Amino acid sequence: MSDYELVVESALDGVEHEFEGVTVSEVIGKSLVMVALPRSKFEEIESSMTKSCGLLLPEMEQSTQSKDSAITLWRLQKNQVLAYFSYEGNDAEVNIANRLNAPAYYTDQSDTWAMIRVSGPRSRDVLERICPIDLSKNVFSVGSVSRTIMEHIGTIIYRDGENSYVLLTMRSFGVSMLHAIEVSVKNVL
Amino acid sequence: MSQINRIKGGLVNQKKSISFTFNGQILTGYEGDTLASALLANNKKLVGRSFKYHRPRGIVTAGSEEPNAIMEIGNGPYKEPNTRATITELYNGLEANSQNHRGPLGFDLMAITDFLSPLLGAGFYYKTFMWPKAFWEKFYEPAIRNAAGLGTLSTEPDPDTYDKGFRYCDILIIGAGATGLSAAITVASSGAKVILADEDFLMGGRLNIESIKINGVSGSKWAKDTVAALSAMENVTLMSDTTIFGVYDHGIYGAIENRSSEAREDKDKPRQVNWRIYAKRSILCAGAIERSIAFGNNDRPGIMLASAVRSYANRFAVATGDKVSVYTNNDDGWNTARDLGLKNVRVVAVIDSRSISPVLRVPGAEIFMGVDVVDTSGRRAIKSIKLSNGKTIDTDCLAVSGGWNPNLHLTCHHRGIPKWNEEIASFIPDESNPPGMSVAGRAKGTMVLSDAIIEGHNVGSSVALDLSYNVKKINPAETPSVSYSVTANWGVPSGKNRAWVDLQNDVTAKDIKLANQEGFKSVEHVKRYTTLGMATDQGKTANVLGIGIMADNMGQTMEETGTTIFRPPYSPVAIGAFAGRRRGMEFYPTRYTPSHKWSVEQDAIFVEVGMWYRSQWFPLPGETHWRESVDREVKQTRASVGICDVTTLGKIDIKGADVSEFLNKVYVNAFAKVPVGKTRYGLMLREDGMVMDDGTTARLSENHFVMTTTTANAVNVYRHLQFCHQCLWPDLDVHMISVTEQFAQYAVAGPNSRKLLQKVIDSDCDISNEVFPYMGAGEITICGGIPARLFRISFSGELAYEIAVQTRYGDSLMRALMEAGKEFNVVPYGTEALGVMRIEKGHAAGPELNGQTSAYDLGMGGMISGKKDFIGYKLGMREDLLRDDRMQMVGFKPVNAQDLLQAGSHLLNLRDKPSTESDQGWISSCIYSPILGHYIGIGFIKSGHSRKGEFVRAVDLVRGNDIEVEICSPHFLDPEGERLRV
Repeated sequence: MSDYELVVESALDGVEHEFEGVTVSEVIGKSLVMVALPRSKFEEIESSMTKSCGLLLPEMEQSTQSKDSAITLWRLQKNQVLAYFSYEGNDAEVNIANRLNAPAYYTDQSDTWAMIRVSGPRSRDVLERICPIDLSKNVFSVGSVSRTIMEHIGTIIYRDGENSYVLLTMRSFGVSMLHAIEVSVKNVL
Repeated sequence: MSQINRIKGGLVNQKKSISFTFNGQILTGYEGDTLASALLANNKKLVGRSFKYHRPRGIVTAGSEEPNAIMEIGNGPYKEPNTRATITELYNGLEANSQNHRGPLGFDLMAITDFLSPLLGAGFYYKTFMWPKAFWEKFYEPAIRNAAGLGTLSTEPDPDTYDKGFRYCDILIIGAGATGLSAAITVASSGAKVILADEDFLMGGRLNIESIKINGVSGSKWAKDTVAALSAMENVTLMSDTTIFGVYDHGIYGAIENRSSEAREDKDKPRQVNWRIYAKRSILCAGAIERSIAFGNNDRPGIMLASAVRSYANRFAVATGDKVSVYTNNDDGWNTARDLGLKNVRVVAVIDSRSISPVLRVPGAEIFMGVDVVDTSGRRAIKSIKLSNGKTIDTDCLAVSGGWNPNLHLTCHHRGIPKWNEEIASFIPDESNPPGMSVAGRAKGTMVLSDAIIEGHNVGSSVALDLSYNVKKINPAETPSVSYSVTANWGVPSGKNRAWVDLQNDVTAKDIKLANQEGFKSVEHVKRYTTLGMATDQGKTANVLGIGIMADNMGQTMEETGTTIFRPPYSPVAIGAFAGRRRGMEFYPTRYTPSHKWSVEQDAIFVEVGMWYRSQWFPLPGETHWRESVDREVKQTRASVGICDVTTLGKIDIKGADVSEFLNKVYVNAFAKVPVGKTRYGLMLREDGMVMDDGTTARLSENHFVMTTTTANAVNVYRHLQFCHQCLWPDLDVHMISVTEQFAQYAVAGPNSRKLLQKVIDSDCDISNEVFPYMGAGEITICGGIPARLFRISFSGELAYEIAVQTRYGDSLMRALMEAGKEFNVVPYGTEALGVMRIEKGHAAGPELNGQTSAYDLGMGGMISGKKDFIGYKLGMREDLLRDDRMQMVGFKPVNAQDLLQAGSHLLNLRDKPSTESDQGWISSCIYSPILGHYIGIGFIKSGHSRKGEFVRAVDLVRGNDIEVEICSPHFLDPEGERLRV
């Protein structure tokens, strides 16, 4: 038995800042796993996931949710989906593979990303300073997900509520992205 | 007395005074004033000096087209030169200074140039400063630049902040005058998403300066009510004080939003926001700009455009004179006379160059029809005008109207060329507007207000329908139809007096004539020879007048003469607005490694590697030179154990049934039979046979591989693999994703590395040499069950491992390793020591993988498998790439161990003189080896592989170094690799 214990550290130390009309907080307690879909198995995978969790493969740049809303699938590429689900363990890959029970390839991405939620009635005003895609309510509807670039940083943006957006940037960029959002808050509010 | 020219009414808030200074004098204005209107209210007619001749100049316009009233606003680093007073909203504490004069504004020493003007016509510089040639850069140009020019810069960094933003809409309406508002209210009713932008801080355009009525109320009231209705609609975004400055590809519009008032309250707030607006369609409703008439001495302070005089009276409640005269060639000029009368401002004369009946009755004014103004008097302010009938009239303000030019600039941003319209004597947009742009109202040449309002409504309807929106049935606003008639009048003979065309660049009618006489026939050439329209106002008031004069000179029509066109930006944009927030540390983002926090605690010195911040070395107290630290890190690692954060190296997880086949196709060496639990070094070529990248790939299970790449090429390699899979071999069952950031990875190198790792790795994972030999790889657990990956690979040439854990444990693992390594005197090492050890070992890296080297050049030709095809194989076999006299990678060491060898040195035969012809190669990487006790280098030299033992010179002419070096193997340390395998 090793004498050393490793401590878990989130990308942004669980940061949470509240401003007038906007809250900026790190999303913690979530896992993200890439589910790669072999070309010949799309239907088989979808049918397995439907059976296990009531999940359908989403359309491009859209998401679907399991029956119990515990698992969300994002589609940003034809041959893969990202499973976004509540789980804190270090074996997310195994966990989601068991839950989906579909013949796909699974790769854990939970530690790859810093996840920041920007929420509140002024969230769109803040994000329009850095986000080059159209976040209009009816264009980027709840459940939409897209990959874009914000402040030179490759970013996935997911709308998880009426006024709530989750931004994912590579973990090493997390501090820069948080700073970019905070500058926007300062400039706008 | 304060504000002696202020009259009643207007749209300014006369209950709220604002204090400001002009050239140090404290003055007051009202809320709603521009700097220009406040200056006029305070009877400041002389506001600046002209560019070339330092002529006294006053305010000419009331809009963004202003050529004269450009000021330095603010002080110290906040100072902004060339700011147009006519669109600067007045605020408390505004500090304005006139520019371009030496000495006081009223007594400019440089005004002497005005007396030398007969010598300084168009092309003067080109003709005069020819000799001696060397004087141009050293003397003439600096002297001319010093004498001429606009405002001055503070030369300090701009402390203001700027931001950028992105907005989307279905329809962008540019201009919130009568046409724009009419279009906006129509379009908005359809539910389409609308952005309405206007450069003025008060929307309404000309409606705010006219006395006409719309729907039974004043134009300004109708505009205000319409804006209020629009602002209540969720699908409408109003952007006042926002200039659409450019039309770009794909429906993208550049917009500068001025937020100075907010920034003044809070210095941290951006002064301007540079918006990128994505619009499916746009409607240009930018109105029209009035032009002048060229007559003798038409530049004196107090000579203004007629609409500006009307604007100051109606909107800003300022009388620009006590005895105003009006000179016009069109009906609209008469409206100024009428409105001034309604404001009880005395109009002494109306002069119309057309021989027609008077358009209006102007009580108290002398009316002259078919008469021109030919000269004026008054040095610092106009005193009188002289008419072509010989009569002289005392006046303190001359309102001139030479007709109106549709404000069509934005229609030219995709190379649209305006066409001449004789009826309104102006250029109008042709059919080649930027894609998706419609034009309505006066910008299109529809000069009658009632027609423009209907046109705005109709175009709005049609554009909305085009986007499949259903427009509600609403009637366009109604206003009496007032006709507009004009007869072109470009200028009158002015004898010896100068008739000014471009007030900002001091171009006269005579300059244009001279250019034409000297053979400049094209409007583009005349523009450049005379500088007509090339100042900061881009000739908004001058261009058409100049072209008219040119047409007259050449006896041709306006159509034959043609016009120059406009390009972005429509009006000046601060460079800071283009930079936005991206300055200093925010120029680009920073990537931090998992051990960053720990490294900061160790006082590490960091280096930027791309966007990554990596530890370069870790100085200890007492170490005064970076070499001390680096030498120590190398020695300690080679003697015992060192740890380096190598997370930045690219890591790609590859899964699927066909991965080994896929890797076999992208690497030069065989990967088909790599056993599970093994790592293999791989070399990847580009299609042209040149080395693209190198790295290791480990097989963790039958269908699961993990590839490493260099830090610099992580993205390129991933992109290359995706291309290969998606385009070349889509049928292969291969799935890849970057896991660079998923794992924190540390190199643990040195003879004691295994012992150290055994303290953190769970005891059921055997990493003995027998079970986990060199190039072994596997998934293990550490610290009581934490999953990890272990690779027995070495960049340093020592017994070494790379251990990877989920990044969430990265910081903690670094601390654990350092703690566990204490008994072995463990040392953290940075990128410098990493580089030293790789060069001692002879590994090629970035400077060697420069895109021009083949596997053979690098001495790795033996790795190439002859049994398979792979990317780069065919072209890599080209005869030229296999020649023995190519630049080949070898090692170099100084003959004299004390000599300094430097990367970048060129290699010469011993007796050759340095020249391109005698160049034999270069040193690509070089370090001081603390193990060998002298400098060593890796480099390329012709036929290098067969020249080991030969002596050559390493010459660095830039740094003055010339030493003798021996060509040797690049593997300076442990060439047999025995240390790796213990």
